[in-house]
Amino acid sequence: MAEFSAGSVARDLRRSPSTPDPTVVETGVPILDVEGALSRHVTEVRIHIDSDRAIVDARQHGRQLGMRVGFGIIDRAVVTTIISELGRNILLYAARGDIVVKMIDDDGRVGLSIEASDQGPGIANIDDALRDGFSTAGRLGLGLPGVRRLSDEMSLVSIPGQRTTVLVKKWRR
Amino acid sequence: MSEDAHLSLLLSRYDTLLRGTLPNIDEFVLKAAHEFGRDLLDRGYGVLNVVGLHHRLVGRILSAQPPNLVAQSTEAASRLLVESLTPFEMTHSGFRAAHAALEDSEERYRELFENAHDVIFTADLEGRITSINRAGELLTGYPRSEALSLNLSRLFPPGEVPGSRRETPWDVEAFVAQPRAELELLARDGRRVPLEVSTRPIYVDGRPIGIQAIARDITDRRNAEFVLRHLNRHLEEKAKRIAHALHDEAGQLLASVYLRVAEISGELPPIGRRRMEELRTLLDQVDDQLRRLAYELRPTILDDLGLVPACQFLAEGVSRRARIRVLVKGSTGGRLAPDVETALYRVAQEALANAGKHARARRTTVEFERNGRLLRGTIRDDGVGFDVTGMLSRLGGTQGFGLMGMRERIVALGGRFAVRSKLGQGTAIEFEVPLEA
Repeated sequence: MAEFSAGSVARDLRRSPSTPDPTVVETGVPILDVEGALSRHVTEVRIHIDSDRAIVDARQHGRQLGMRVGFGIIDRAVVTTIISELGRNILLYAARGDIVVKMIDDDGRVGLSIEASDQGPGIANIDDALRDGFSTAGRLGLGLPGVRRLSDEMSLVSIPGQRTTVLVKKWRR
Repeated sequence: MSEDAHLSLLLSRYDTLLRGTLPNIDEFVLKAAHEFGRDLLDRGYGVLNVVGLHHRLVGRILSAQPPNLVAQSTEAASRLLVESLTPFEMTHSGFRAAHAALEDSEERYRELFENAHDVIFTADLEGRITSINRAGELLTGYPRSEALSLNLSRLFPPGEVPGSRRETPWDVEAFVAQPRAELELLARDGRRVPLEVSTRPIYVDGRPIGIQAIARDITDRRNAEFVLRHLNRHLEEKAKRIAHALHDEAGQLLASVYLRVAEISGELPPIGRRRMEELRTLLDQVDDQLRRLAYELRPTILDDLGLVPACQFLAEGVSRRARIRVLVKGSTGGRLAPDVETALYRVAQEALANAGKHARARRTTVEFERNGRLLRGTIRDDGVGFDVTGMLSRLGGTQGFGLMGMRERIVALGGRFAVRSKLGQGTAIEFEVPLEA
């Protein structure tokens, strides 16, 4: 369900060859982040979203990558919330799609990007979709406006009837 | 469905999930926590509703849990709460409130840490105490201001570690190497308190930066072991006296009956003598039974020659009666304290009886090994084996009691006891007991 690929970012992030495997959970308790831990060389994960179970996978990968770039517990929860929200949109409007979580590095600033894409009906009016309370599936500004509020950068491309891609970035504080 | 009905359904679903998982959590539960928060948000509930409901559910679960799981469950619960509050940060109104609530709940969990009954402390890699809770202050006698400049080696001075001959200081490495240990704490006023300590390393960004330890005062348990040991000693004394009465007093009575029978049969006609011969055969059987009973109650050979010869003698008897081969190997490196010899003999006796009765074993090996101040023993058979957890969960059976009895005898000596068995794969009983200097 998930594809892994290696990139140059991993090398830059490693401080020294003796740095212990960063997939070890912060508190030493084997509760979640170590389960199915990715190799430290993996910097990008693609998950095909077609079920709730796939969203669980995507969240787990997002949490692990988030830990690797140094996100604290709260920011890791923000990442998983974004993934849940984007995954939910895919299931709701397009039935299937993909989420790619990637470690990013912009001149020493590190973070994660989360890209959700699908080939559903698309969004006719992007401005409306980003306005609080517009969403046809939720209230109170959940959905895309919510994701925008949680993230540092967001871009949205939608060609109605063809495809929709939401790209979100979250930088380490 | 009404809002109330929906909320209670949501709560009970989440509650069931938490009960089934805490103290362990995985991404599946975290997603459920997210959905719990999101659903409440979607229905117009506020941050404080979520926090309140969460604390109520988790509080109920924590209070029903054994104390050793509470610290881990608390930590897991705080991560679930973070997950369930994060959706609120998606909205204008929730943004600040969620942050405030998170800080507030951190405060709450800090309070749980503070008020825990167990001692909780952390130390850095050099062994300096970096935090300690109130229970820790009380037990060590050091107020926090003083405790925070202390080194672990001050609280846990070099001591004799079972199984090693040297004086080992309890530094960070020793704690990490032995994540569960029984140690003696040296309190500020010189009191020594036995503690059971579980330790785990703390990592930040994948680097170890120190340890966290949860320690429990096991004075009560030690006292219980002491009482148990005395009770065992008392019972053995009783058994010895009964054995003596059977063997010597009843034996003497029997001897005089023999004499009388011989006298009377001399005065009888041949038919009467044959009847008296039958009576003598019956008396022989009574004599045999008496001796065996007396011996099983208290084998004199154990007092006279020690554990290994007594086990060898026991093995011969079992071999004959149950027709299994019993091999006794190894050495105890000399005589041991009477309490220890008695307890280990009783364990061997019970284990061999099981091997003969229930296990349908063909071979059984009893092995002792002395390693400094630690005596290890193994009793292994090639019988039918059994399902250990199943056996221990229905302790009503006589075999379950036998196992419990063995464990109690070893525990009373401050030792460790394990049964390993699988259906069709034989049984191994392993134990180790510390020996006094």
